[in-house]
Amino acid sequence: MLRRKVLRDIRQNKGSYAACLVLIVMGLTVFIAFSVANDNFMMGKHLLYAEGRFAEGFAEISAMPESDLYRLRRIEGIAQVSGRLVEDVRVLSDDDRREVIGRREAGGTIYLRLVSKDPGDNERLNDSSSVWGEPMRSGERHLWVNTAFADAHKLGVEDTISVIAGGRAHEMQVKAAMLNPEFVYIMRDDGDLFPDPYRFGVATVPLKTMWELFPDQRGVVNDIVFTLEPGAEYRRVEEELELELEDYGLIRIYPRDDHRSHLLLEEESEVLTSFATFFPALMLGVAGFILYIVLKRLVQQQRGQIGILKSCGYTRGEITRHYLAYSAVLAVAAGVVGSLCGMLAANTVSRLLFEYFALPEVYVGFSLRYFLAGMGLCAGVLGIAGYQGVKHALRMTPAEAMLPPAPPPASKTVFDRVPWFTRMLTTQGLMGIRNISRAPGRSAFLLVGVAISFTLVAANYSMTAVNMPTFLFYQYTEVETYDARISLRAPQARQAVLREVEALPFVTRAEPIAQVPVTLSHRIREEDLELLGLAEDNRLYNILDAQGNRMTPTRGGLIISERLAHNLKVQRGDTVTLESPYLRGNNEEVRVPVVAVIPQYIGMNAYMEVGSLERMLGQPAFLSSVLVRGEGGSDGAGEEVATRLSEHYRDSEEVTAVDSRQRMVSNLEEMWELFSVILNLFVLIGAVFSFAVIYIAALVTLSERSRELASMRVLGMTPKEVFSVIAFEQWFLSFFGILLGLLPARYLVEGFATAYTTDMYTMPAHMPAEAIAIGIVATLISIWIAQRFALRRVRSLSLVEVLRERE
Amino acid sequence: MQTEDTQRELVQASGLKKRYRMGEVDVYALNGVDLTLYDGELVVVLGASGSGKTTMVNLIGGMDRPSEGLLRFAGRRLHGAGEDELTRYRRTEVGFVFQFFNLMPNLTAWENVQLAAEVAPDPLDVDQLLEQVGLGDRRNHFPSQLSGGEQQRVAIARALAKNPRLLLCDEPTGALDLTTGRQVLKLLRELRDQYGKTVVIITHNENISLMADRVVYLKDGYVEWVKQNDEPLPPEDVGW
Ligand SMILES: Nc1ncnc2c1ncn2[C@@H]1O[C@H](COP(=O)(O)OP(=O)(O)O)[C@@H](O)[C@H]1O
Ligand SMILES: [Mg+2]
Repeated sequence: MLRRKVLRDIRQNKGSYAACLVLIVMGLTVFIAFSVANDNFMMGKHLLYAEGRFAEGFAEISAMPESDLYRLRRIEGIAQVSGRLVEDVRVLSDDDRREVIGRREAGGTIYLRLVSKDPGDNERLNDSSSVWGEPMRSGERHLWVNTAFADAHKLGVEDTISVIAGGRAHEMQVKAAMLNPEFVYIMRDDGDLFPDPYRFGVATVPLKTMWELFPDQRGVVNDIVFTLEPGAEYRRVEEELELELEDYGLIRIYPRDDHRSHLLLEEESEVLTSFATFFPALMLGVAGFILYIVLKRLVQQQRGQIGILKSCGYTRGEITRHYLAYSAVLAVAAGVVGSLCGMLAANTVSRLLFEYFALPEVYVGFSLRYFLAGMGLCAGVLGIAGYQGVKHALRMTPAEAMLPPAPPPASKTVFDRVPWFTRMLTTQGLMGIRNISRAPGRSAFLLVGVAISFTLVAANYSMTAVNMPTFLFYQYTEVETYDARISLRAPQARQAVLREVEALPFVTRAEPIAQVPVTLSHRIREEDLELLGLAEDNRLYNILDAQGNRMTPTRGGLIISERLAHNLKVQRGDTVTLESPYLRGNNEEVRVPVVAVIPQYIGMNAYMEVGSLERMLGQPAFLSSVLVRGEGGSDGAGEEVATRLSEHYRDSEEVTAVDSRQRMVSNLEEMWELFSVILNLFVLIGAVFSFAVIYIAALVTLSERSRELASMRVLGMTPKEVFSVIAFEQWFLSFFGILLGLLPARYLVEGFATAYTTDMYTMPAHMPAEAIAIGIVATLISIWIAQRFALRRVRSLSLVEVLRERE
Repeated sequence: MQTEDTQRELVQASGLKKRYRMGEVDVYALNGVDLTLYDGELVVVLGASGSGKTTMVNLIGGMDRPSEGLLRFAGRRLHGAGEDELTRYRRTEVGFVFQFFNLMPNLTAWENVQLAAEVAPDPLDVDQLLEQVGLGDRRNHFPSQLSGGEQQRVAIARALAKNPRLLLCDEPTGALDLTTGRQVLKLLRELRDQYGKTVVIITHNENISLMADRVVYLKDGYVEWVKQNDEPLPPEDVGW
């Protein structure tokens, strides 16, 4: 019989229960979807890492005879070593296939990173595994390409592609598509923001073939990877290795933790985990709170019924169980639905992940573990909320339960101690204020709810409308303004190259960049970076200060990025020590003053006037890249220039790349669109969230106070006047809620910036006044809308009905 | 006592019906009530539980609208009045007292009365009213700190604060014991005498009718009889 009562009561209150249900289902879905996806993701990673014997340390060198590798194996702490030849080459995509793909090769070049593979070494590290295809034969012109590149170019077994190596084009036969632990998240260089599988891929090639392609590198390797003995300390091994590799032109050594693809993989997993925690916690928390309120009210309304049950001899336990059944029904329904939705969504999330991360695709179908975890979580939250809601009423004796409730105790609040404040208020305002302290739990709910929604909106606006666009586009629209950039294999004589490029009919301006690898140090800190030498009359690569004003490249000293200044702990006016392989003469190092510090969001560079840079280094005039402005100036024309340059230099041995800036910008814009959809979703969640919180708070107030409010209507007050009690309470709390949200918003923006800031990328952390204003406006609008809805309920309050109820 | 025809009519009801829909069937809570209330009289409405007393008073007080029939207050049409019009009517002309007091729990006694005074165009003095109901010294107490009788006296003061012409009391002593009940009745009588309000007291206690100028008896949704009381007793002498 009681069971029937449960179902009927639920039906009567279906709105609130439905809200709980939706929130829990949403929370559980996200929890399970992201947890399972993360598991899939991690499982794929472990599989690939184990199968491919992923290295723990990486070293880049200029050249080392392959036969010298045994010397490294002897180093204490090193378990295995593989040496490879790694070279980037340009790919000539043939026109026919271009038609098939329906995509014009516009604005630049396609690159492949060729990594040698020694088929004779069965223990080679960072080994590829084929997804489809056939084995390669040593010495043949065979290669395996990464899966995304194969997909982007519609490549199949036996298809050929031509690559330019050693100044000549070579036909290479695709044998397979592969995955490799070293190239899970594939980007050409550290300055790239997103993978572009069409434009850049990775291929493994038999070592002998590599040597044929690059005759001047015959017999050598330029890339070392190694694993450590169990218990060996990386730092020690690195020191030993540094000594050993010194003579082979060591460029850098780094551990797995600094490996880019690995790093991004780990970061992604962290994001998934935090998403699987934060969002569900929010949803379940709110759902639990709603249930708590609903049940508490139910029990209060049913005092009489409880009295009757008690007088019939029902035990407290039975009555408790009866009221907890409301939670149980909800928990089972929400748990099952949420868990199943989660499992379904998990596959979608996983598939999305595998699109960006080249991992073996592992899908767990139904996970009993997460199903149980989801059910448990749901039952736990609802059980606690339910028990808290009902425990009050159960303490009453039957006689008490039958009496009309005593007026809830009230007392003066802190505000009453400020007479001038209370005197300003209407009596409705006073009631509102007192209500705040009368229901501290609900007031806190509203306060925190408003704070959270303000935080979400203000922080999101700062990130989506201000910081992310600055981060993404500043470098490639404000700082760099060329149409195309020609990168050279090795430094060249400056004037000769500039004259040659400028002489091309479609080029209107060419500017030099001299890129010099340097190590800057200041006291105990040092940083490796690229020092850029720019012409004094530069127009295509601008040095901009914090206010966006152009600065002229300096003759006497360095202009450095804020990040570099931060890392080296230097300020304007300090002097740093510069070392560089380009430094000629007797000096091992030179001292240079820092003359300015500027913001830089992508990359970490230092700048100097090119002529004085050369004098400092003792080098003749040179350049490493040419920046080109073509005719027509802007829009589309830029890509055209890059295409023509690319064609012009297709057989050049000296040119390694022609990049179009516009192409980069439009790629970024494409990615940004996708990304901003997700971020805007958060803004929406923020707004909906505050709407829901305020509406729920108002509804609860309405139903708890319906008798009071009806009494006011009887006194002849209009619905608006009556509602002003609730409205005042809410506006008052919202004011403090917004204040409360200011700091978390600030922290969120900073946290976001910190999470994205590395040596290569600096995410700005501005929270401009307009973000605060928009946060306030959005919050106020959702409060206002929620209150309009609630006001309708006051209008429809039937006086006769409410007052005849004996509560 | 004056005779009927020299008194001014305040409320006129004729053929007043109130229909409620109970599932499939219509139930008439009021089934054709004809009644006139005069300025300044004290009327007791008697009737068994469920006879329609509350329904009738609710209609007269503008809490609800009649399904059929005519209802006028001082010549003003209440039947067919809109929600806003009824709100205005309640705001200026009617004071309500309920069985279960219905005070605002988080306002003090004084503030509860002030709440009503605030919205009225011509309110009475709140402090004076509280003195009069004998709660001058408890004005800063919250309802939870007051006894039932005291709460009801605050409710009466609140009903009166708007200075309405009509005071409607639905079982005002229903939740009170004998002595406090008598005090409340005495207070109502005094206030009527002093301010000349029309007071309607609903009860199912026949003894209370002895203090009335007129007694109206409801049965099954209509007025069965009306009796003029030539010698109303003082409330102190009313039995229980
Ligand atoms: N809102 C309502 N819905 C249905 N029936 C009602 C409603 N209000 C009152 N009634 C019915 O109308 C009749 C009169 O009720 P009421 O005026 O409250 O009587 P009294 O106050 O004399 O006890 C009763 O039979 C009651 O059941
Ligand atoms: Mg009644």
